[in-house]
Amino acid sequence: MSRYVIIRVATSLLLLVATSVIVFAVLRALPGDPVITRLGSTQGVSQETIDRLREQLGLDRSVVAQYFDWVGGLLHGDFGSSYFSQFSVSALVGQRIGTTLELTIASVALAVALAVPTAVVAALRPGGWVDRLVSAVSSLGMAFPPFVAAIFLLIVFSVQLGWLPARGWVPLDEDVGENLRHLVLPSAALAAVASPLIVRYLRAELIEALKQPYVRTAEGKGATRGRVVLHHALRNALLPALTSVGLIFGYTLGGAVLVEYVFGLPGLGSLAVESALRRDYAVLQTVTLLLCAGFILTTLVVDLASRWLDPRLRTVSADG
Amino acid sequence: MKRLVALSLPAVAAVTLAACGSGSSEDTTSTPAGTPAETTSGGSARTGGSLTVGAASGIPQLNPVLKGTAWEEALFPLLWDGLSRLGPDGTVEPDLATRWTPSADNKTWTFSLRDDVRFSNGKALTANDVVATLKYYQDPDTATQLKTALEPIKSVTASGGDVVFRLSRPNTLLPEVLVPVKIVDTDSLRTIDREPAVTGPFTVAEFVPGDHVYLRRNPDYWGDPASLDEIRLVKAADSTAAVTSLRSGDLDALWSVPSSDIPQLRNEPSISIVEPEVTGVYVSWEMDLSSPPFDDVRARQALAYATDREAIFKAAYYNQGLVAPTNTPLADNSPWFAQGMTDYSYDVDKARALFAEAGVRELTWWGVAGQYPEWNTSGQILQQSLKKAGVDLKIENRELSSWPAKFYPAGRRFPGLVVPNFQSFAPDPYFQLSFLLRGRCECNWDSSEFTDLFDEAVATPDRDARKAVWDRAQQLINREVPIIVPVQTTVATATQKDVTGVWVEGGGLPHFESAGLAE
Amino acid sequence: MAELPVPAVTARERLRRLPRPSLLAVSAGILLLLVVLVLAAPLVARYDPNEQDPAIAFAGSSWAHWFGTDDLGRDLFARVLYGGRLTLLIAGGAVVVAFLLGTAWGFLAALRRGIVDELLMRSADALMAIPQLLFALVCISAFGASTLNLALVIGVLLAPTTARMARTVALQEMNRDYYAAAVAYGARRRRLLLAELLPNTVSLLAVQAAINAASAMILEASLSFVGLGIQPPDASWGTLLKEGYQFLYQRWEYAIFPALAILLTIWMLNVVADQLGARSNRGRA
Repeated sequence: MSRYVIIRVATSLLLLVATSVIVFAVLRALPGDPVITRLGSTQGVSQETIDRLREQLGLDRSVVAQYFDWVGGLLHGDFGSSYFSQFSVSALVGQRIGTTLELTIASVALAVALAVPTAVVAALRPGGWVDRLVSAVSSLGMAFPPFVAAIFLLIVFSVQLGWLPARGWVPLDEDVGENLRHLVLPSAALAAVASPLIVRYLRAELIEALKQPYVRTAEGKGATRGRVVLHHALRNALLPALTSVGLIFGYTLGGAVLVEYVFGLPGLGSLAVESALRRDYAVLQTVTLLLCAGFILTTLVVDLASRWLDPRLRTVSADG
Repeated sequence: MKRLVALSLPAVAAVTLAACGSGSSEDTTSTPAGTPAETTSGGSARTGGSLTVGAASGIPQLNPVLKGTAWEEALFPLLWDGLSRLGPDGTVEPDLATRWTPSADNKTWTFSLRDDVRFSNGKALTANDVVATLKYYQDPDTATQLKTALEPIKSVTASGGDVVFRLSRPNTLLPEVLVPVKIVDTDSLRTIDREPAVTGPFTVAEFVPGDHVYLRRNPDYWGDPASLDEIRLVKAADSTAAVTSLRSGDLDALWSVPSSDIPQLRNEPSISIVEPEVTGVYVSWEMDLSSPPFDDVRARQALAYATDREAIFKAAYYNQGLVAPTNTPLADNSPWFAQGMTDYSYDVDKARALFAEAGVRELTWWGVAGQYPEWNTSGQILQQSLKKAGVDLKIENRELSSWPAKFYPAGRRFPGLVVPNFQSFAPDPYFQLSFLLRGRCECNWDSSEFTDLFDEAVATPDRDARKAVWDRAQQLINREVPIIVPVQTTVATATQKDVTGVWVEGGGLPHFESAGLAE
Repeated sequence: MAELPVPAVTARERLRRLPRPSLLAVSAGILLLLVVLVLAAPLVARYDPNEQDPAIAFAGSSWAHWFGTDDLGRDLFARVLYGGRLTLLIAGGAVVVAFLLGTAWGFLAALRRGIVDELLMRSADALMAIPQLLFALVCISAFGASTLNLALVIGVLLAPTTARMARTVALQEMNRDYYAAAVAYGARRRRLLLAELLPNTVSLLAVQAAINAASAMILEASLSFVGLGIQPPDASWGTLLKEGYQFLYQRWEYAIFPALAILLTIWMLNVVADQLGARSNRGRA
């Protein structure tokens, strides 16, 4: 077990390093120059000014040196500074990470809350009409690009009904009620797309669990089907399904990019898009790495947690 | 998703002194740089309240000297002051300076400063701050869009409460030129994004770069205190969501409303559209005049004839503004508009003949991806028209950050490209036509005839005589077609009906300094 | 697009055998119908998709224009049909790229095992950790949004998941009797790969192809939404959806048709993938 944990953590760290190399290499390989972008339509800029600015930003150094500057800084907690404003990257991230975290957590929570009862109802009678309806609706749900779901919600709840704000954000610590009002549509858009995935995993696990001997034993003792599902099967099916939640966290984090854009939320996704379009590498590479790290960390935690919770997996890991 | 990021290369009201020629002017009073603008409904404003203003782009940084986007320009008058400023009636009025006097030869100007102004960090504003600010503007390491405009300023010196400008060439319009120059505390530049030291009616309460700036009333402002407690400038990137927020009242004002939405918003009882009477915004399609095929005037005239202005005006600009059949920057309702110019109304036959003579077969439309839907529509209309005139137009839209590398540093060649853009200035020929001066327009037009006419106009004190010179300059533009001007348009700001005191300058920028909420 | 006929053939076989059409047959049939409609666009549509007629801009649905017209008076039905061609071309191209790259990647890992396997799979994991849309956005904004670039970038993004799938499938096959037998007979590795592994894993890889096609369409639509999709006057379903969204207050129906086309296609692809997956699992059990 502890050996497994060490290996798993080490792999995650290596993965993070590999990701940082890929992110950095891809960004530097692309055409586009932050210095020219920053100078924009400024008139009468001489080549010397351009060179001096490039030097100030450290862009005149070799690519390898720049990589180590960046990683070295990260290790010392120095995330670097934006090319376009005086804020440090950690300040920029600090301003926005709360929004993204809240949005992601709320969407996953909402998705799970929607998915669990749906999967239970579907698994009660596999192949029944409820099950077929659920599977049809869930594969339709998976067909929605998150921003299309966002647009549909926007049309219905903001344009037609006028119940909820179409854009904007109020931080949690400022006004809880307003915060929730602004959170509903974006998180619903993401949950609408994420919950079908959970339904499918969970339903499959439930059906598998219902085939187990202890279920038949319980039924033989006269427990109702619903009771069996809730008390026995669900508990056993939730653990394996937990692994999928890790993936869904990652998926939601990615989908949040456009959802944040549509609803005008000041999150990491919109920061990444803005920096991408301005070639603000300093911000973009760190934000991308953070998003990757979030994904890697979630998978790691979920992986370790499910192994710790489920003794069966522990023995499996001992085998292989 | 009309405007993902508006780095807005289109410069707003960036004017140049470069061509001001010899000849002195007796005219010591300020000439109007704009025309009377419409303001939101009168009615007395109550003190207090908060105004949320949306724009497609966020504010990336707070230093007024390093302004990069048009929207920043709307923020700066709320925070900083210049020596002079633009008033709602379009005239230039004193701001930090109480008065100004030119020397007889218009080469030395003396500005007298107010003595009761303090930066929000407690420091008193002195003539030395003005000198230091101008020095900072002119520093080769400072990337400012006003560099060319301020180039003729030879020296700035402080003498007591006065600031003396010495120019290398005479100029009668220095107070106008200095409107966009904001005076900053150069000692605290290093923290200007985090703790800006300001002199204006508001101070910064919260700043998230690229997303929002929250402003609070400046209790120590030297002028009449603002009536609003708070102004929130927020990014509303997705224009459909932005218009929805405006309709539902989540936004109190929205800058640069998509033209497709304006006709309907005009009919909304709860919303006002604020715009200037005479617009200073013109659509400019630029070509590279220093390389084939557009070094040939026939190719440019052909393109002018191939531009279906009526169709573009209707489909792309939703009838907001004016059609420009003479292909010149000034709107035909401007008092300065010249007569006796060629009409370039849509004519496929003339276009085909001229294109054939110039040997043009294919062109490329170089637009911006993800924003300015009106450009996209215009490009597709032009594509269809050009097809009829025997020319293939390829449409290529790149995201904005690949733009600067294509056209800057200035003087870059871009053969065969048609580059949509727009210009916004005060609706006076001095500002409107300055765009076509050498080195200013990306189009690389280098006409000494035009420069001479420009110089002559600036040196002519008599208004009627000056108009005659401006007429000749416009006729030259009309003949030479250095850029294509399909339409003059407006950059509209929409507000809720209960918002008072908002006005829009000719170039389309809204002013919220004296905004309030109706009682 | 190339792999869409695969489920279609299966569908036809099933239709012959069964009195009642299965879910697979229905969904594959709808997909096939969509593909045929889109390919036969010049025969079905009565208008040139790029022909402008300002006089009838924003016209509603009518007998002349089934889906109405857009801001330039172009027939939306024709534009949706022709747009489908580009959408399917991009999705199809991306699927092919992902298939070629991913299969080679996964099979190589499965055959070599050890350090090569570890390296290849860890790099796949690293790529999968990067938010896809962000990566695509940066690449397309740098290289331009041509059909080829879109297919390539999206294909590369889908390759790591395909590689994982291909590796798993290959490992399963390598544990089977026929493979061991072939190895025992001294068959060469390359021959084994092409003659035994690939044909036997095709049905599972087809499932992955359907999933990839759905993901490719979602990515294409997302890129179009930020303005980095197919450039005018041509349009894919993604760009049409985005244009329609901009005119939500002028004519909300505009956005509905491309949205429905996208949703229906992805939905059917998901169902086909499900059914195919269930079938090949049953076949193996």
